[in-house]
Amino acid sequence: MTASTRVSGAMGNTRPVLPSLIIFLIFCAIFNDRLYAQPVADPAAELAITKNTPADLGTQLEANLKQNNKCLKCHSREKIKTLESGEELSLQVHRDDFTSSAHGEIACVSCHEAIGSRRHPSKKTNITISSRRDYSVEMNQSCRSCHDKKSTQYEGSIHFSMVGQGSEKAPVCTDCHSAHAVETMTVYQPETGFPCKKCHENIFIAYAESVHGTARISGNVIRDKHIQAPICSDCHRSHEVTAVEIGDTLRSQCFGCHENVPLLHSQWLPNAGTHLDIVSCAVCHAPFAKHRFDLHLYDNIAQVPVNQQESYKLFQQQLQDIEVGGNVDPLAVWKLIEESNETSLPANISLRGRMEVRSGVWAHQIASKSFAVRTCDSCHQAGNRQALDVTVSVPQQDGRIQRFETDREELDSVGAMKSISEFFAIGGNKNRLLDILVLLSLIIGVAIPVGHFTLGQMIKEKLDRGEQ
Amino acid sequence: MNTKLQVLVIDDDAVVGRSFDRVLTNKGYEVATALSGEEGLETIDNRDFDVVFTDIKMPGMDGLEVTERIKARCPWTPVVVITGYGTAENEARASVLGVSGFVNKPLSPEIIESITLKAVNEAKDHTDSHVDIELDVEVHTEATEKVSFATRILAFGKTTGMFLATPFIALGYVFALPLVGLYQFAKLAQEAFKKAHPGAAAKAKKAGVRAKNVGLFFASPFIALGYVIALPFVGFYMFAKLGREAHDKKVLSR
Amino acid sequence: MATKNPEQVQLKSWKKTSDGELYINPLPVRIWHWLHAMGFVVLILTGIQIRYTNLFNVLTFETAVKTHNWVAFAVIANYFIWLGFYLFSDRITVYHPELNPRKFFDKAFEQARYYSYGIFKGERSPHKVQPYDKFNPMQSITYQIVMLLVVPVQFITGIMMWDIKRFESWIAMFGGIQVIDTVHVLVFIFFLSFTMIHAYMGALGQKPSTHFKEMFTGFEEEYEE
Repeated sequence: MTASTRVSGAMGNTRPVLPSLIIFLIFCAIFNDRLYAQPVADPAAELAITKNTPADLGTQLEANLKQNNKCLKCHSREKIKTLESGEELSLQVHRDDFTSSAHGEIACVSCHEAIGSRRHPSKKTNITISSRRDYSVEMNQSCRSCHDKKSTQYEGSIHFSMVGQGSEKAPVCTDCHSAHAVETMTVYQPETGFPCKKCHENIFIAYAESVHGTARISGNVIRDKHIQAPICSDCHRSHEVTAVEIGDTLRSQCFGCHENVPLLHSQWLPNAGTHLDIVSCAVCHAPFAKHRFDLHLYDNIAQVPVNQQESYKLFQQQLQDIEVGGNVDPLAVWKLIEESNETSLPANISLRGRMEVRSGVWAHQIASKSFAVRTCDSCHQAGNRQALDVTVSVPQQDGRIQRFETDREELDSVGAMKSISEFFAIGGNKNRLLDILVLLSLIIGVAIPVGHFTLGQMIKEKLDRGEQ
Repeated sequence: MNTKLQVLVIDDDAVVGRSFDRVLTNKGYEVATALSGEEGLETIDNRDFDVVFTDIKMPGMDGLEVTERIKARCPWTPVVVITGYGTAENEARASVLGVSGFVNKPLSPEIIESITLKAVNEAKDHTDSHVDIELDVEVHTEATEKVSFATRILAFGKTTGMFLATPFIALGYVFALPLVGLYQFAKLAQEAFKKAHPGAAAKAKKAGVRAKNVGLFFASPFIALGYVIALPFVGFYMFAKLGREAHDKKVLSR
Repeated sequence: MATKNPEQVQLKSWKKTSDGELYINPLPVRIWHWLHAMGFVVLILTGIQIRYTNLFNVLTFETAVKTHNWVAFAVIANYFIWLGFYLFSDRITVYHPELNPRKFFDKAFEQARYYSYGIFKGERSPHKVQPYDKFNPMQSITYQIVMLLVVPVQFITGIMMWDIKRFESWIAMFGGIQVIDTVHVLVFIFFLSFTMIHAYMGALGQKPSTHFKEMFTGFEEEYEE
């Protein structure tokens, strides 16, 4: 880095700092006593506060707009840069879009720090950008400087971990919020499905036809009552989007609005609490969905499903090893669990079962209550369950779930008593050995009376003959 | 001729003789008693008996020796051995000597009556064959071997079973020990209480009976389970015993 | 028995009727027995329906489960009639164990011999039914185990499965819901043949009706030679 760039960097920074300092002093004068009561005031925190003070807004705004005008002078015109990847990147920023956006009053250089602190890129400096995607990912770092909390939330999301894994599709901030026409999501019309629909179109269509979607589109009115029907982010959360299979995040989202669900179910459904734990809402409330019986790993000590924590890494690798063509043997999984519980794992893991719908599309086709399935047979009848998929699901490092198909016969085996001891659907799982014993018992129950009676007749006959 | 059946009881414990006397006297038997083997043999020399009972453990001549001598003098006389503890060796020896049966102490009137009747009847049935046995020495030795083999197996089973059962029995005692201790303690306390409050004693006794009743009630399924588990073993043992008896009988009747 | 139990003397009055019949089964026992019997039949039938929905559908699963639950609670409540009666009656001796193993085994084998041979020859049962000693040794161990062990196990496992969530920690203690269910089914399997054999043996009295009459009226007829 040359000396001149360092100077220009210092020059560029002086302007916003000066008024801030003045405000800071005024602030200190007003809140004198309170400030002294605190040990040391963090200057950064103070800055953050001053940013939002109305008194400061005018001055800052003026300065920002003045500077932004300089940028927009060129960038409001159409300009295209060819990137290393051969893609074309438009350098145009529509003035109105930007100035009316949520960031309209913020200086361009607040985000484009590199340009602010260095010389503007030119053919001479030859600053290169490898691809649009890389540039987006890189630029999203700057969001954190103001939106620290949201950024942290985002970093806990499945989207973020997919980006880290090199996914080209997983969204970064600008993919949903756009780069310059930034608005808070609340002003978008979520009925159009933007932005989730961009990637999750099938699911959005399913949602739009569901009881939630239709209510939302018809203006949140159901049976003449005004309700707030949920949109994607209401259940999946906007920034820390997670795979719904993990934990009971989703179920608690349902209960968030339908708070009397446990009570209503307990009025007619035996073992309502257990059903709500084991059967996902969509299994009954998406009446056309096909079902899947999923075995997942459960941490008995922490009392949560096993997640993508580092401590399970070895275990997850071992699980990959026992996979044969996308299939695993639940007994082998269980054996692995047993071994791991004894040696390496920090927790006590077991397999737990859960009834789910077979795809995300079905999970969103929640119908009105009157269409919900109220027959027990779909799970509690052994014959019906033959059409059921059985999977073993394992959380991956990126937070997604990897599913292995497994032999459904395994559920009826004697071994299942140990391998999935926490799950049992009466009439659904049937231990074949017990069936044999039932038959045997019936036979004994008939054979002993009949045998005894016959023996009696035979002995009596013999005795009678003897007497004659 | 005296129509009454003659019974001799040889036992160093006079009570045994007296109880035979009491049970059998009015039922067509005449009971003579002897307090030692020597005395018994003396009595036999003087008159004939239809059945002789002898205790196995006596000072001086023991029951088996007495049997041997009786059999030497009058082999047709049935001898029944009374034992307090049947050991396999004793039984084996006695079988060889041609003992008609064993009877275990304690003796009830019913047992005394039935065993006497049985011994007398069997003696009647086998009167003829006994003569053969006396003469056929070779068959006798062969029988001895057979009997000892069968009894040896049984003896082995018994000792091994006892050995294997030992830890469980011991464990039972270990569990029972504190309970027994508690019971003793309670008994002591109860006596002290009785002395202190003579009036309340009856009430306490009633409560004690009740507690015992309820305790037995709730303990019953576990005891019953014990019986259920033991039942096949006992059944097997009974079968083995029956089989052995039949075998011995067959061998002796040859 | 008579010498053992001094209380028996004062109760002599109801021991025998003018016809020479013995009062064997007091009212609470009879009420309990028949309610229990009806309940058990319903429980066995609904239980089979619950387990084998794929084979037949006389009741819907939901109806079967709900019937099973309600009848089960009635049977449990009924059990306490039995328990209460015996706990607070001097007839508790009926359920007392024979503490002398020798005596027990002798009598038990005698009884077994009777059932496998003697009964056909028209012999009389070696066990004489008495108000304080109602059961023969085979019966007594069977009923002790059934009433004080097996039936409670069935109740407890059933109650656990009735509300899995509430008894979660207990279920975990016994090794999970699969274990609980398996025990419940095993006991059911036992009761399936037990009930049939029980009914058959009920007809093995002097006349086929003897024991049934005894269970309805409480009186046992005097044995007729």
